[in-house]
Amino acid sequence: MIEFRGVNKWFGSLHVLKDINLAIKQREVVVVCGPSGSGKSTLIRCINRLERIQNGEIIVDGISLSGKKTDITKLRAEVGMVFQQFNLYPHKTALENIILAPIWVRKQSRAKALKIGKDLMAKVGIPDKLDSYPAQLSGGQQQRVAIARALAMQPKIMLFDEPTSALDPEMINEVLDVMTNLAREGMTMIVITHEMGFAHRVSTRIIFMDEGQILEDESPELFFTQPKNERTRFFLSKILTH
Amino acid sequence: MSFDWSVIFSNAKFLLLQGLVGIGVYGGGTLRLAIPAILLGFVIGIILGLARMANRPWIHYPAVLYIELIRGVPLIIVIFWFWFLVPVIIGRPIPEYWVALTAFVIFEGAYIGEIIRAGIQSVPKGQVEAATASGLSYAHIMFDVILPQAIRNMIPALVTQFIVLFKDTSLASIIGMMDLTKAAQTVSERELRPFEMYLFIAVVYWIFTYSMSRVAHRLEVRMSPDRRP
Ligand SMILES: Nc1ncnc2c1ncn2[C@@H]1O[C@H](COP(=O)(O)OP(=O)(O)OP(=O)(O)O)[C@@H](O)[C@H]1O
Ligand SMILES: [Mg+2]
Repeated sequence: MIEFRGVNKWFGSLHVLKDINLAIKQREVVVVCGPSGSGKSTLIRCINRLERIQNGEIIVDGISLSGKKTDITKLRAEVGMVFQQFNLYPHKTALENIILAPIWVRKQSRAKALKIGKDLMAKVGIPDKLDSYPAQLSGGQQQRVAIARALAMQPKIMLFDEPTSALDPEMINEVLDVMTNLAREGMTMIVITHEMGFAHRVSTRIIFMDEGQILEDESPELFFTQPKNERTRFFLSKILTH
Repeated sequence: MSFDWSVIFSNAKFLLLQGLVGIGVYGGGTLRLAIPAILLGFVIGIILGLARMANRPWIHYPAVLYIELIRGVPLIIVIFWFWFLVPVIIGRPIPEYWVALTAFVIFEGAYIGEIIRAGIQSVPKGQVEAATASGLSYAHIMFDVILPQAIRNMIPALVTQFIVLFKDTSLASIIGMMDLTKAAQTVSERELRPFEMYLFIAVVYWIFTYSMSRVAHRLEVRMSPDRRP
């Protein structure tokens, strides 16, 4: 579903992704963790080409991102993304946020987009907030609208960049629950998170990154019990003691 | 000397029709200058603002040069250029009204261009990223996501600029254009009643500028349904 082949990326002289090789199959739920600045966000932002790579190749759903004929807009429609800061459109209601891309990118009729949007709002547990503006919602509700907005495009892959890091503790679980259900339904997901409980329960694989490299790529059982790398152990000891 | 209301009443028609609106034997009029100056300045401003944000250097640098040059000189100097210099270059005089209008549009365009740029840049990067990630085209990102937020953020600065421009049109009286200020000056020299005349036109200017800021406030509220409690 997603494949990185010898991918390198620099920001100016800063080498942020170092020879990344990675293959993610359909229905996998991959958690990515690692210290700040290790390149986690950059890694997943390359998948929908929010960031461009300098060399190597990324293949998403059978299509190479660097191909000359690649229709990047079409590819982006298949990849949903959820951000740490929600990034909802503040001048649109929850439902308007959700239907914008389905109408213009998927060319859905307004009626169909509204129907799907309402169903998704029910699915993320806030069917009564259709006409609320983002500023009128709690952080947890906003993030659930953002998830519904991404799902409305009926993507094949969902990317999450620290979806709960900006939330108050009591709202973290309502978002993780939505994500857990999504994983159970078989969505292919890449999730950057430091919620190790979620990683343990839900993920099929955990990747640990440091300084632009993938140091660990393991099943959750092995990742938590027998991490290979010294730095992984150090990282785990720090976040698990909180 | 007591306050003389009659001098205001007897000259109100000249002041308002000729000075304010520009109907009469003289070309001019504060509104006839301010309204096209605001509209054209806005158009030039949008073009300059977008040009300044362009990546292509041959679009970007001329816009930067224009904006920085114009913002560095007083408005009255720009008016004088068109009043004294341009006629020499083109070899014939230009009517006061057209001198004033050209100078105002050129001058205001630079300021409005900066307001447009700041407004668009005030929209957080995450908005563009979310829209891009969902597969929206550049035009939809611009018109459905960025501009509605940018314009709302620009309204206060734009209106302040329009109010400044409205009041600055009084500078056109220096080159003899018959606007509200020039009309008041003419009357007060004849009637020897400067106090009444300048007080009267101050009230007229105030009514217009105050109305502009009220309308802007309403517009801002109407464009911000999400900020209502
Ligand atoms: N647009 C950019 N321009 C220059 N440098 C950047 C840019 N974006 C990220 N970087 C740098 O690249 C490195 C990797 O950043 P990235 O955001 O991928 O890290 P991260 O692992 O997601 O960190 P965090 O946990 O803090 O989100 C960092 O050193 C960061 O400062
Ligand atoms: Mg990050």
